[in-house]
Amino acid sequence: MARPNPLSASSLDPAVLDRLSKLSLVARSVVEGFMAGAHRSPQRGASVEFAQHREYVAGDDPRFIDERIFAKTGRLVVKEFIEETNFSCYVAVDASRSMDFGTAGRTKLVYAKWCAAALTYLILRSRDYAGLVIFDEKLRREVPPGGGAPQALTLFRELEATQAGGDTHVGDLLIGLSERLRRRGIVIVISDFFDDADRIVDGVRRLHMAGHEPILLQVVDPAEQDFAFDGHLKLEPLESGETLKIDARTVRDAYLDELRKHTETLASGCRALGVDFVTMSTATALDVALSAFLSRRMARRTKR
Amino acid sequence: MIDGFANPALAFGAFLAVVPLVIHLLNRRRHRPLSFGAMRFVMAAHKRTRRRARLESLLLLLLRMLAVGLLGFALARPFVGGDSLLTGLGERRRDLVLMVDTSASTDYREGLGSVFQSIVARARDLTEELDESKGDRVRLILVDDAPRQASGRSVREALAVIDALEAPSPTAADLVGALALVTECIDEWGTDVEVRLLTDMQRGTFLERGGATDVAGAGSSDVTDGDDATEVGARPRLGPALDRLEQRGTRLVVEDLGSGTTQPANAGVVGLEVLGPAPSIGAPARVEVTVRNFGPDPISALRVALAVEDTRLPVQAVDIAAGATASTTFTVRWQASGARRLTASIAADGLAVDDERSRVVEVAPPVRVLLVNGAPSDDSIEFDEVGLLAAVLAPPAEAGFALEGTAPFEPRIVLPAELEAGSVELASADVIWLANVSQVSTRTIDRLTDWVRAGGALVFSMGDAIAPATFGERLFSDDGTGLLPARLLGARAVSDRRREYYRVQSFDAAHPALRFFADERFRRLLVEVPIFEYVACVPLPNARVLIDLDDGGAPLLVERDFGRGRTYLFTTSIDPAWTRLPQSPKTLVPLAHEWLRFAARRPLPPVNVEIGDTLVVETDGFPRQPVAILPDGRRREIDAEPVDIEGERWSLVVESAADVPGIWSAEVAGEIVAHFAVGFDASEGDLVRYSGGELESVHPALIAGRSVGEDRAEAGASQGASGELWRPLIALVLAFLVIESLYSAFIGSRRRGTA
Repeated sequence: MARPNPLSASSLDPAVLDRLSKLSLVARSVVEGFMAGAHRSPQRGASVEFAQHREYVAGDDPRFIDERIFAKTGRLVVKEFIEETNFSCYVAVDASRSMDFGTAGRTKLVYAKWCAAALTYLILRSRDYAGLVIFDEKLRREVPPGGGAPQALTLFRELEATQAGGDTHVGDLLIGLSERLRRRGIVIVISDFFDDADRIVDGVRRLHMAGHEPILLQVVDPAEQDFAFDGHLKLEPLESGETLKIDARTVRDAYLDELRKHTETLASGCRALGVDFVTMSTATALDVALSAFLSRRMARRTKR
Repeated sequence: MIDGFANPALAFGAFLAVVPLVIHLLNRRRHRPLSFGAMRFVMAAHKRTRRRARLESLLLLLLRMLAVGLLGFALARPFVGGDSLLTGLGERRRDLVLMVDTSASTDYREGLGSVFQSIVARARDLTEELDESKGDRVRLILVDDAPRQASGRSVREALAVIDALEAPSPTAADLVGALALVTECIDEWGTDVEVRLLTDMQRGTFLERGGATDVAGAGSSDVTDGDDATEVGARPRLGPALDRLEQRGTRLVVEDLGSGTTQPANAGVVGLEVLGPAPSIGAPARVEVTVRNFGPDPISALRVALAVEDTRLPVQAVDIAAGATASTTFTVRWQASGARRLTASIAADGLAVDDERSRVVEVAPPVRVLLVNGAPSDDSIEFDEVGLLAAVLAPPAEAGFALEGTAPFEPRIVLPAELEAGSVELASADVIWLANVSQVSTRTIDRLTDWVRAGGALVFSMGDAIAPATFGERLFSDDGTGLLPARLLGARAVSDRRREYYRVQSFDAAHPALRFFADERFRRLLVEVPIFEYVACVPLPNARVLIDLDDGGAPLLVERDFGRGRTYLFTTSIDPAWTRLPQSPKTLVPLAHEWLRFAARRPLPPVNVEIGDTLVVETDGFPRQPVAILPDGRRREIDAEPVDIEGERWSLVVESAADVPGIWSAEVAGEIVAHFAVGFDASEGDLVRYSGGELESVHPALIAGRSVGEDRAEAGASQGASGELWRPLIALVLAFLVIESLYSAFIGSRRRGTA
């Protein structure tokens, strides 16, 4: 009996994966956290690459005292190394009912699952650790970070089994994650973020304060972006709420204005924290969207 | 504010204003369901835009409704009265009801043209004065004996009708009927309607039909709507019709387009009658032509002509005093039986239509009488059962008793055995007389029954050979299916013929068969004849006793219709055995002649009819390709369903066909089958006219017409003050549409701008 290839789960388009694998070769050398072994941890600790000297303080491991300096100067100085670790990354996927909307041939949830699979694939191929969080109004499933093919199999199965349900409370979820995730690392949140923007920014801030590096990938449908409807609509909320009858043309401008304000609030909040906030349309090919994101991230890191 | 509409039915178009509202509501009902995720933004946007969008939508809806509603309103062409606030916006318009007198009297000619032509020209002028684009309306009513609305409201339509008027109707004017149409029009159009009658002012038009009562005599004070039932002659009175007009604030302007004189000269043939007994072949008949001088001056040596078929008899001249009637008599010998055409005429004068009058006379062929002799005798005709009767019907020429002309009867004597043998052709007889025939077989009864049903006349006379009880068994039935018109009871005889006898007690003097004896000079010839014996009987309920006896009113002669024919029961004998009647030639001759001539006369449809009457054509076979030939030779297909009547005959009933006076002919399969004389109302020849002053004294609703302007001023209600509003309304509609378009564009651009 042949073993299933964990990296060819049905939730991931093989063609996309193929292109992403090429993309990963480019991104490997520049993107922290995504590329195996190439990521330099912001943590300093025992490693093979020297970082700096500092005065010895009580409690330091005597093994790191630089004997040569002690022999020359008599001062106790310890050596610090850049910590090179297997990086941990959480991919948090919003599976609320609002994600179950799509007009471009796929729903936002499907797109988010593809995106999550692609990212975990890249992470695991880089021999880093990847974990998964599925949430709606609450945390629905959590797979702790792990590495290797078994982890990939687990993650892909989880993604594939994920169905839309519940309401969106991204802000509360992020706050909860900041307290819940012990192992610091990158937290990639894939959602439409159709929630209170200030609350979301607050959650991002808490994650950031907790030592995580949040990345917000906003998935939206083209119809939600431009609201190009016509005539009279009876809008039935995918999540809880009341049905609304509207004239599409009448509310279109105000809708776009509200959406723009919401997006700007999120973007400015993330920008202030140095957090990446990327909006991806389900009409855009996934590899194009991810490569654009990675390219921008690479460029920003290079400047640093 | 709005006085009425030129097109009232279209006023309902204003309700189309609800169409935009309905569309709006339907669109609101037809919301396309859509499950959506980003509802928080939609909610917020909806809250922001709800009030403004509703206001914009309401404004646009209002503009659209106003535009559509006003358009529908404008199409109905509303108009306002003089006291309306909208008068300033209205355009002045006229509503005219034009009554055109097309009665026969308008055919009167003076000089080159006729009064009718003057009326038509005036009608055209009045109609051409109207401007349809301003909303002027005209309704044309043609006034003859059947007034009718000839056009609705369109000026163009009215002009087309006027141009198509070629000749007046040959009938009198029914002004009451025409005024009823005018009243309907006023009720439909509202007030401010100008009503104008173009007429020759013939006095008869304003008088009660069938009487000489002047309409003024009717007065309006004693008239109510319920008085319509009160009639002088055959028609309702004119007064109430004018009252109704006055009650609606309208008066009738009467324009005089007639002759220049009050009493135009005219003479007409007012009567054409055949005098004396029913005409027969060869016998001379007197035809009386009556002529009336309707003019103010006497006429001397008026030439009167009579044409029989296509032959004109010598002209006769008569002198007639002014307003008097004169008659002249022509002697005519009929050369053939059947429908004969007579046409009397006088020298042409101003009114041609009454200068000629026609009549169709049915000249009966000899009556074929089949005498079935139940008691023949070779000794003397007095002992023969039908000897005397046959002699009376066809006197032997050598005896010097032959009638002048062709013999009116063709009797044939047969024995009962010949009748029973079937060798006698029943169809060759008009009358069959069973005289003292003791027995009739069932087969013969069946043949006789079919023959009578088809129109034959069957006479039973009694005698010694008949046993009443057994004779009636086969021939009588209580349900009326038997041939005998009465149940036979038994013979009754006087006890002593020398001292006693029965006499006729009474008879139906109005019956054509007995009318001769209605004259007191001849009455005794019938009532004094001794009758010694008769058979008592009880007539069927639908039988008529024409003669009864002084023996308790016992019937002597009973008549009953049977199918298209008749049966008779003569309860005594026709030979001298039971009565002296056969020996009384002064009685027997007129009785037998008149009776049998009448009995042989088959019921035929009337051939002398009045204008507008129905023509009935009867043919022996199925009428193929029936055509009516008019007096002027025009041919008109008869579009009527043939009806099968008894006796293998067919009938064609042509409703209201006779519309031209004179001789009409009916042709079937290329052969003339009937002639009709269509008469003309002689009173139309009386051309005495009202003067303007006389007319206005007739009824306050009548105004003698002068110039149109003066008439309108006097009529009051016809000032043309009504103004049409459709143009301002259309301008308003355009304004609303422009505003709606601009506002829509503004909203659209604002949305695009903000997007």
